[in-house]
Amino acid sequence: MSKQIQATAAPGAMPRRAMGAKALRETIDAYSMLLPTIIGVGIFFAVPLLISLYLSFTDARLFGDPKFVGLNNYIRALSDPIFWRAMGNTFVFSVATLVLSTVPALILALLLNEKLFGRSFFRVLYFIPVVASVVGVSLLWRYLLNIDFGFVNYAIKLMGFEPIPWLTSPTWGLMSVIIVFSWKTIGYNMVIFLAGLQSVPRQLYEAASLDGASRWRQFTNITLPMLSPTTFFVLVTTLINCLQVFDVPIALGLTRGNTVGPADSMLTVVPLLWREAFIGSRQGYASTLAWILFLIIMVITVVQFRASNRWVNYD
Amino acid sequence: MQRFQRTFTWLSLMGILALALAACGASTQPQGGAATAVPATGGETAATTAPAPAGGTAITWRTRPGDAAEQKVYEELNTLVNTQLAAKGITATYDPAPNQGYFEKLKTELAASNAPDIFWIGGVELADFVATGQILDLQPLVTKDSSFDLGVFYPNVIEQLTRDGKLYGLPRDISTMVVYYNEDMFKAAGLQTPKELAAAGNWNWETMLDASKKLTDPAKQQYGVGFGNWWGPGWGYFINAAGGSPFTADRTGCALDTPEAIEGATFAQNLYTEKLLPAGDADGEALFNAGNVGMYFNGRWFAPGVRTNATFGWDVAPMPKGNTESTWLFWGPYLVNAKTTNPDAAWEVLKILTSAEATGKVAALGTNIPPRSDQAAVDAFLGASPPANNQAYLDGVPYAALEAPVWDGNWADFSGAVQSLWDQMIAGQITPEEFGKQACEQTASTFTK
Repeated sequence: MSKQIQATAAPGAMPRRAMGAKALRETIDAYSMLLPTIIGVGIFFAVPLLISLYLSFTDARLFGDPKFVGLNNYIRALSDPIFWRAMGNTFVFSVATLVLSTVPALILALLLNEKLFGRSFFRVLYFIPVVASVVGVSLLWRYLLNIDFGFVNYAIKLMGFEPIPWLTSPTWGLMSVIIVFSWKTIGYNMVIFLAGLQSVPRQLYEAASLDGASRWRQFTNITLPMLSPTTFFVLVTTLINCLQVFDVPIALGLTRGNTVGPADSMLTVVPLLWREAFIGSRQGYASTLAWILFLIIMVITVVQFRASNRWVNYD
Repeated sequence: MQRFQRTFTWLSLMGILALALAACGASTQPQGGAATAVPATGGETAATTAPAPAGGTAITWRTRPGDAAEQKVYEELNTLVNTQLAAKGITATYDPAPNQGYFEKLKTELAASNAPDIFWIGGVELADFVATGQILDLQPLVTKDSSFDLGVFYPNVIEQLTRDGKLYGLPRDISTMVVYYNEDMFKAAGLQTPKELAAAGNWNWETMLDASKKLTDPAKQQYGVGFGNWWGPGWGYFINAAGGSPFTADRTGCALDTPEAIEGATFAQNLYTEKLLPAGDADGEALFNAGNVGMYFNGRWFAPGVRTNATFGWDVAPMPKGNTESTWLFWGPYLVNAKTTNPDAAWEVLKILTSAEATGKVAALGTNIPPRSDQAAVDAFLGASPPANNQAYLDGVPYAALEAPVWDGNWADFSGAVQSLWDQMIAGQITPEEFGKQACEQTASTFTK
């Protein structure tokens, strides 16, 4: 018995030193392959991240040497009504967009997962807004939503209602951003849902049909649970994108008075930090806003991951 | 095979390190050299480069052209500079930048010490640039140059560029605000035009309001009046013309809560409440050009667009008189980068860029008015028609309020807060009194004195 063990162990034990050298070489090879990414992430991500963390504790402006101010910037942000307005707008925008860009995306994905005539055409059609330039489509939407000559208000008037001042009233400004951003995001979420739907085994539906389950029952008991990892991914990524929204409010709402939408109604956190950094030249304070947003996103994502244990089914 | 792999790995490693080091290294190109032209962001903004002569001096300069036609004129100016300065061994490179993000780009380049030697900004932005030490004092260069006459420029503009005996630039252009009006629409309604009313000494808020009401027709989507929703034709003009001012006399505090300021705000709010104008910031421009707006308040830069698009008879008139005559005098200077390595060469280029010939060429394009009152420049401007009544722009110069830097405060913070409250007021969410009170409360911290 012991002989047998010895015999089995022997081939491995003998060249241990040689294997160590090989492993080391392999490790070096692996790291050398990873090096471009490590250098890229280090120079363009980690270093700026650390610098921005440092700046958030200083009074840094574009010109001159920054002075350490401790937590002053953080205290200032938390007591600044404009920051809270931007936070409020970001929150309302994120919740509304989350609903408006995921529910229709799921419905579209379900429809386009069926064997419909021209479904490839519609899949492409709904995906076009995702790849279209934000500035271009925002200009287009500025025309569509215009109170005097926009098609949206033309349709509203045809239905017998008063036109809506989408872009000119502080009340409707944020709603315009929600509409445009949701319109731009639906296509992406639809494709992710489609991929998820195609991985649901057909046999499950066949078995359910044999058991007499209705289409609705199949949807709630098979599709939704099987799609839960996809739904979770869509919710997490969409929410993060919403919290970081910048381009649509700026392209749709930046005015010559440096407000983002009428009375800053489209002002969310990232446009605010951009305005602080590049119009106010307050890089220190802008960095603080970036870190506060980072912490908020981190907390929300952790909560989402924790909550996902209860409803996401990975089996 | 293994050997080859190892060699390949090490070669890759060296290559990556070399690239990383090259990327981290600072450019050794001298400041202001022809090759320092910033990479273009599109065809429209490609730098007009000229090869630097051996041993010569290269100067880069920048403006923010609104379109290809304007950029072409500046490119011609660059040729003019290069022709006139060839004998002195000075080469100029025009490096235009797009409107979007112009100041962000410029400030970032200044912070990184690779900004152009000469660049244009709006007059109201001056304090921010001077306060951070980015701008060269031109006074010593003016003093030692006997061929240069500062007196040909409008003195009120030069006054704004002067602080504590230092001269921080030369004006590129000026523009007063006037009323563009649709002559055909006035004629069709049987109304006297603003120009006729002005000639009769009866062009004021009352007659303007009366005409606005008569021209407004919701059924035809026709508005009597229009103006952009920003400080120029918006809160700035109405408050000034009512006899108030956004600032206290010494410009160290807010004066938007005075009875005169509130009167101006009330008049403007009424125009919105009665729906006599299109509500969007820039919508009115398109609607005026389409023939749906009777009168439009704007600067000279609006003229080329009207020339191109209007299919109706149009002209300009002075701004209507409120409690007092008022308009804006917008202007923008060329500034010299404090870090330029060639101040003397930059000065030579600057003199040509602000000469009667150069400013006349720009004025002929129609977007602005020469900053000089010498006859050659004025004639070049007056000949640039339509509009027929170019004199209306010049008539406003003596009583115009100057777009002026806020030396003891932060203009961006001040104007942003006021604009936000103004938006609420014109939407009917707050009263003009609340606008004035809250504006002064919220902007108190933007002043440093």
